[in-house]
Amino acid sequence: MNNFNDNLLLRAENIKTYFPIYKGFFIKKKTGYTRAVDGVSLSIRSGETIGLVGESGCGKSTFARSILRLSPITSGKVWFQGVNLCDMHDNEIRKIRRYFQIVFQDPYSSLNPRMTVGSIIAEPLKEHSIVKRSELQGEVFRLLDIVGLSSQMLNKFPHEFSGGQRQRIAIARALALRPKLLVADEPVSALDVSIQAQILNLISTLQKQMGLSLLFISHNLAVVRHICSKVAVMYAGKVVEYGKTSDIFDHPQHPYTRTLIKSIPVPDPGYKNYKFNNVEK
Amino acid sequence: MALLDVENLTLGFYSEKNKKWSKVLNDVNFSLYENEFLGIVGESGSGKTILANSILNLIPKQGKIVSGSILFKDRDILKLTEDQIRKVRGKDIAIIFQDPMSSLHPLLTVKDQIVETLQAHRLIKKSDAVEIAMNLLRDVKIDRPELVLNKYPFMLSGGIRQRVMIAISISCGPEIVIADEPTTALDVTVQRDILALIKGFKKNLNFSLMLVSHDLGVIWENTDRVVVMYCGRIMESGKTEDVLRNPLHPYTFGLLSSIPRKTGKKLEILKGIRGSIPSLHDFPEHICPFLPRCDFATEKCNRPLLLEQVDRDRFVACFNKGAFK
Repeated sequence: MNNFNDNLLLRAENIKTYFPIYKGFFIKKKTGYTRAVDGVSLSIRSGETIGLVGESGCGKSTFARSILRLSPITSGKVWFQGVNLCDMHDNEIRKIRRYFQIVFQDPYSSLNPRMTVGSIIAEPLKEHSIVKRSELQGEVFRLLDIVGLSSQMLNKFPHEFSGGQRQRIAIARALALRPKLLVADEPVSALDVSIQAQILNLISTLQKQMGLSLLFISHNLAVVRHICSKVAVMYAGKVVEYGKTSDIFDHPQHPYTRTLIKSIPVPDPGYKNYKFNNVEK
Repeated sequence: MALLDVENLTLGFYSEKNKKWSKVLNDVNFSLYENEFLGIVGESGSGKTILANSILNLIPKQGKIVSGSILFKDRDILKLTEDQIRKVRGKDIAIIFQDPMSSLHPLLTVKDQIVETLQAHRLIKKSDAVEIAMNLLRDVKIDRPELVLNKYPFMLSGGIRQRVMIAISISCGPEIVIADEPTTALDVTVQRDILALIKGFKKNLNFSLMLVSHDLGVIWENTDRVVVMYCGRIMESGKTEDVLRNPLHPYTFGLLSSIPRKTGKKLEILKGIRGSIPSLHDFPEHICPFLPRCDFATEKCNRPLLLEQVDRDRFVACFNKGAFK
């Protein structure tokens, strides 16, 4: 490791996640592997926002799940503040997971439909004993408040909320543990453009206020450009290009990055710098 | 001369729970001209899809046309009998649905589905129809169409499925193609290919396209004229360039300012629109529906909304047009 490791939060080294392919009906034989993530390395410093982009099926989500130990890793190492997550026992992982939380893509399936909003947010607080029992309610109110929901919503169920509101609940739940790293896995792709803007504003404000590190996964390059300081472009399980956001967007080197940038439809070039530099209508 | 005229279309939906009728489309007026690409844009729940479906008279059971007409070649589509409308659907007016997985028949091969459409509208032998189907697949740029012909939809990728949908829709030489979010479920690179394909057909086949989308980028790059919808009403319509470059309605302005764009400063806060679209049965009836979310509203806005013509081919429904400038 180099001299800058004092603020290095997470380092993933050569992560490989392979899924076995079975054939046969009664006797299943392993016939090969799907290389979902094939040797990806990434460092995240504290307070940094990193975007991970690529088409569906390129392994972005699997990579994120792997470094959080939500998916089994075939090989590679994940260092989180100098501790190797891969060697950890499940019980230890559960304890350290409070420092890295995730917001999932689909707010319709990531919240338990039979729990009220209050208990969804309170559950991690109780599990990790973050606050005293007497302060629990106050903490839940505070969290609802910072994501812009009113305290009257405490006893409602997820199905009573719109997609944007549900995503706010998911963010409140993730922030309840005061994590150091927030992984946002396509948090806005299921939302309308106006709601998407609200959630993006919320994430970027909170990220700055709380000094969070953010790993932002998206297939929407405009969103990544808006929110991230560095970008990694993934294709077929590998990172094909990595660098500062401005470098990637203004001078893409890899042909795949160029195709990706060229493919985004952009409204009106005349509308104050709407356009990416190298896109022709 | 307009190919399709939608006049004062109002469509009601009945809710068993609330025991009341709500207007899912409210006094919608627009025309589709020959050889034109028209965009319909708005948030989900603003009535875009129901508008697209009602042009083919595909209105769900709980819906009822309250007033208005849809004139296609001087015939009111809403007054046609089921047998008559069946001759229009797929032949004169074709539709490409959003989700190619659920809109293709899962138990029929690609060949069966294309041949079915062809034989329903043309008197041809099956062997000829298969030949045409093969050519259609070649037209939508599928490599080795003879392999795809005998496959079932689940064996194909999303992009190929949507190409098959397009092949079916253009198979009988339609005059109007309605594309209801044709690329929303697809990746950006596939989206670009599909839109390029549809645009390419415009040159050879001379149809008009109604492109329903929530993506202003897709609308900007692919349409000549655009209709902005909110709460079942038309908020603004006009030439795509005019509307997106110089929006007059705060809603259009809000949609545009919700999109992250390149600026000198990093991480500016997106202006966007506050709140969210009300559910159908809470649509405000006697005031401007956008009033609760509008940053530029005044007392003037507390009255029924009217779509006004401000320029040739430019309509806006707002009492404070361009107040945000």
